[in-house]
Amino acid sequence: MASTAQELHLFTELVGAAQVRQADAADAVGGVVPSLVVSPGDEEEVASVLSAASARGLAVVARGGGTKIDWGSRPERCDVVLSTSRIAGIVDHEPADLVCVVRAGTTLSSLQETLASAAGFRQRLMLDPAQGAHATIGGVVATAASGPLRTRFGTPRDLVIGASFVLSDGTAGRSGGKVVKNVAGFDVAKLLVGSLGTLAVITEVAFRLHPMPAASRTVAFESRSVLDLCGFANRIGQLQVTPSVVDLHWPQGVVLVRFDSSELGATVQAERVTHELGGRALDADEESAMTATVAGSPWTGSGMVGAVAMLPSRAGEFLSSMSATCDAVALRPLLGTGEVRFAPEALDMVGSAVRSAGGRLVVRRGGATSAGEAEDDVALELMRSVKRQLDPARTLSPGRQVGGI
Amino acid sequence: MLDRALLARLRDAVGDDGMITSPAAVQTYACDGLTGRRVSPAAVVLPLSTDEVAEVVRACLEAHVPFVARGAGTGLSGGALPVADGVVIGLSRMRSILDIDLENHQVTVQPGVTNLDVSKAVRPLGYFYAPDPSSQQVCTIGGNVAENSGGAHCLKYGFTTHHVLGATFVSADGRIARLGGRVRDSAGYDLLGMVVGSEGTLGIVTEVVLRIVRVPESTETVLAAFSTMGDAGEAVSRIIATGITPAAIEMMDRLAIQACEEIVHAGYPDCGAALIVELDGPSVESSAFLSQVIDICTASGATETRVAATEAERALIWKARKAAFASMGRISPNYYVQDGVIPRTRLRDVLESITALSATYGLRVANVFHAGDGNLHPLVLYDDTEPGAGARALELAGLILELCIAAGGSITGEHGVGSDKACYMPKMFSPGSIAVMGRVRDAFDPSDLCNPGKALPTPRLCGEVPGMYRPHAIEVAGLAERL
Repeated sequence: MASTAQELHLFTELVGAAQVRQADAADAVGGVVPSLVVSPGDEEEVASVLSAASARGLAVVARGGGTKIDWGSRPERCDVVLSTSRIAGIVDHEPADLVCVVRAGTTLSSLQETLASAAGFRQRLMLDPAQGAHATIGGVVATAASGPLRTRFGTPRDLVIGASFVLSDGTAGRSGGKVVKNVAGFDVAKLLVGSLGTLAVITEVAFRLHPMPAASRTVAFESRSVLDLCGFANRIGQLQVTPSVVDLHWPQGVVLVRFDSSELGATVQAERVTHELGGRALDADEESAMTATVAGSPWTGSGMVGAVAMLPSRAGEFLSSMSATCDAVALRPLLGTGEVRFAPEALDMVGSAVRSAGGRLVVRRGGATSAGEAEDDVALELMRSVKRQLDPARTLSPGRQVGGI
Repeated sequence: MLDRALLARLRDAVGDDGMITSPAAVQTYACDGLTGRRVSPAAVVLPLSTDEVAEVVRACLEAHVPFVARGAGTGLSGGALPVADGVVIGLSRMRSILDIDLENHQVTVQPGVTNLDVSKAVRPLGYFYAPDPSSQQVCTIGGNVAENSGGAHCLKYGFTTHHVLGATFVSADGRIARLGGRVRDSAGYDLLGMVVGSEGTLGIVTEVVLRIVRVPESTETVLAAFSTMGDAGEAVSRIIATGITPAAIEMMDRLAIQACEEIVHAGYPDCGAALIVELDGPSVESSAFLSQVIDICTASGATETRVAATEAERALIWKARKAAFASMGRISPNYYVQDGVIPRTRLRDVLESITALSATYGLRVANVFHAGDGNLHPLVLYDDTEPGAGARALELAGLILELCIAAGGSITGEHGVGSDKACYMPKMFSPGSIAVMGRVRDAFDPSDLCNPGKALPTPRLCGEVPGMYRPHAIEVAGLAERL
């Protein structure tokens, strides 16, 4: 491997001295401290940085806001952090088409601000992952991060309609486009969503947007019994209503159900829930108070945080065994997905409780982070094959994906 | 011709009744819905299980013979077009609904189950399967997965990819994998997302877990008549800009309406363009949205609006819309359909350009399409007995695709690239982008035996000018069959 001084010189030639710096401990990725932080300004510079790194056998980890930089397994190597901070801004936004194209380093919050102020037609990207204020579009897509809105609108996989990216050999590619309905060519962006930066550096993403709802109503159902909470949530799934959010919070002991629609639509749906299943519709003050009690949960507070997934029908079983062990749970009961926070010594217990409910646990914070376990050998072999094709030199975030990919 | 050892191995795998090799019988499989292209396969196998599919694939791989999976063959892009002397793997006998799990809102089906049968199975329980391609009575879930099929209601509910949770997958080398699953968020790359819409070029799905959706409380459907497509397009933009997301917005022009009326007699008004707008949700909300939509249509120049008063009236409106392609035979001996997509905001000018092109080429173009998502289906009408008409139709259709690309759209919204549009791919994607897609394909199928020549352009394919199949005079006379 070349010395840091040589690397510094190399990347300075490519992107300019102001955009290369020596890394420090704060730049560590999963505990691995890189040598340099390089900030290319556009797709072309990303390509030249990646080609140069690949040619010298240097490992590159792409970084946006760094809010989820620990997601995935600890990288085998990390020589260069490629910061996308300068690749920012909205490339295209035609409000009437409900579509936008945005550069990867743009923060989700700044995008939402622009969209919310679209003259005459306020709109929104329906993604609300944790730590969204500093999270960038590229990072949210690479980690497939989502939040409460997932119940109705899905994850980045469901909202990304196109992506531009650069492979480690410098090949620039694009898939999809800027129309929502489009089946031309392979949907390579699907591979990049949740890839943890191991296949390509994302430079631009096109999204499907939704109109900003005219009104919202939230129903809260409170109970100290997790089974009651789960039962309530499951019955919501059987009603003829379309909530944007159905979140179960523990230890707060509440299921929050939010309807985003027209004034009339939100009101009648909230009334239907309280009438048929119980709970109470919150007024604006109560709603903000309630939102404050669950805000950031389960990420706020110390301990490990893990993502869980199980069949919705088995969420009750999992929660019954876990409500005492976990410090906090935020679950989307209709999907069977969510996050839990627990003390490091409880890791094995939480893991076995999830498994015995037929689910899986992936640690996202607090040491022992991983990309999870591949459950199918043939699928894992296909994943390795995809990696070999797109990043044969293993330049990009080596070791971060499942099976050490 | 396949060698004897391979034929014997295939017969062992699927049994006598699952094997078709007679030159006459394999003709049934020589084309899909793009009937202008025909290629005779050497053999058709009709497996009954995942293991049989895997054994067939392994046999083909070892003999180095290409294979093409096929559902009902309703695809419109030649995606299920056989490879000459290759094997067609017909999945139509794998048609069981394996599991209905209402508690978790999912069903597990074999790939040969028809799209509509999924909804029929769960509708009495209050659920439906949302993607609804017009061919839903016959097209299969396996084909829907291959093409990432849409349909009229994907405007609100999304495409096949949004409704597939998992699949059992036979890889191109005959191994069996589970992709995704009944539990969400499986670890690693989203191979399932990659496979959905890959047009059968990465492997074969043999079981699919689908998400089902609760039937909305009420549905309102309005048919609005306009004098021009431009006015109707304006109404579409205004409806979307109010923030309402209708379940569907469809448009038909005068020619399309006339053709449909010939066979369905749905009583559509005689007008320049008809819009079908469907709204669903809580009943008070959909009726409120309905009056808003009617007001917008009137303000945009609608000459008449007609609300379906009963389920039968709604069904009739949709029957005409979904019969549009089939009814073209009433007004033209031949047609060629395109599937381009444009940003909704460009509807008016692109439709005007299509009208101008139609005049220049002296060929009628009927328009019937998913206006809400800008997915055009111009049907270029021609008479193949007229010398050069077929070639002119293809040329005109090609120019329409170029209009779509220039407007920032796509060459295909739901029919797929298949063998039909592979050579248009370089107009939409850079060589680098196509190379990356090719590398993904190589990752799944390094031997290039799994539906080769589809979805991505190849030099061999695109160096030649594709021509429409034309029966020889002695075939027309019934004196001989093409084998």
